[in-house]
Amino acid sequence: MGFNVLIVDDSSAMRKIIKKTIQISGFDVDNFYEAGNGIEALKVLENNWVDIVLTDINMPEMDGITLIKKLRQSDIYKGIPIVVISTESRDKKVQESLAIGANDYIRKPFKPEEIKDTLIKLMGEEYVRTDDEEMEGFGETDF
Amino acid sequence: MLEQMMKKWKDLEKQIFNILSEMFFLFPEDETPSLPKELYEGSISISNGSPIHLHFFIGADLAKVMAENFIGEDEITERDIVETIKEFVNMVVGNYISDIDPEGMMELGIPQVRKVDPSEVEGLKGLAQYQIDGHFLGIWIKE
Repeated sequence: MGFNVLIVDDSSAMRKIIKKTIQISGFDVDNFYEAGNGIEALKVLENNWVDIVLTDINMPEMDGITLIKKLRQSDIYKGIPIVVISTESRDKKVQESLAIGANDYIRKPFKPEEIKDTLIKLMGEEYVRTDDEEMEGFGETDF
Repeated sequence: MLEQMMKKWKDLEKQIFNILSEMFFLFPEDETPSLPKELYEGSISISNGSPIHLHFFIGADLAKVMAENFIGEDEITERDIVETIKEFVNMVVGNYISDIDPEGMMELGIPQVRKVDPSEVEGLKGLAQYQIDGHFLGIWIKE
């Protein structure tokens, strides 16, 4: 049995890249859900259980900071691991995300191993399939 | 601070070439580019008081190659191209302000993409032009 992932980014191209990176990294994912901003993410969460949220910060309508605050204020979602994946790597933004409850932070462009290592840290190794040779030849590329 | 930022044009150029090579496998050439018939404009603002608008003019053929290389799929849609340009602009400028504004005083806007007629670009004062793997890329900054 795998886990459910919610990817929140206003760029559908970046959502595709993150999804592909998780798949190629060998994780056993049952469902990928996608949202283009915080409002869409909250709508997805109303109808689906999600085990981890990967979110951008800089998005229209509702940004990642607001989304994280709302999730951490919710009795239902406050325990869900949240990873910020953003071009915003300034200390102030990183510290703000972590202070309001993000569990980790990855800067774009990222290496596939950064996503893999972070998911293992937060979800555990039991979700990684042992036949993950697909990572070979993929590690040198930044996304 | 904004005046200082303008002097850091070379830093911006460096970010552009880094992102193009690391994420899109595209490299600048020492040639004078010609203006293509079809162009996309990706734009984003940064502000600390008065905003500065950064405009990226990308030839349609370059935009298609960028999307193909970024997403890693042969079938590229118009939406893929638009979303790839958004992500390119976001990453270039997001990383740029992370370097020049580590304290996080400046705010990054939301990237916008549209198709433009080359006549809108021709004659723009201060337009920097590059040839990227045989294709046109123009950068224009409006205070």
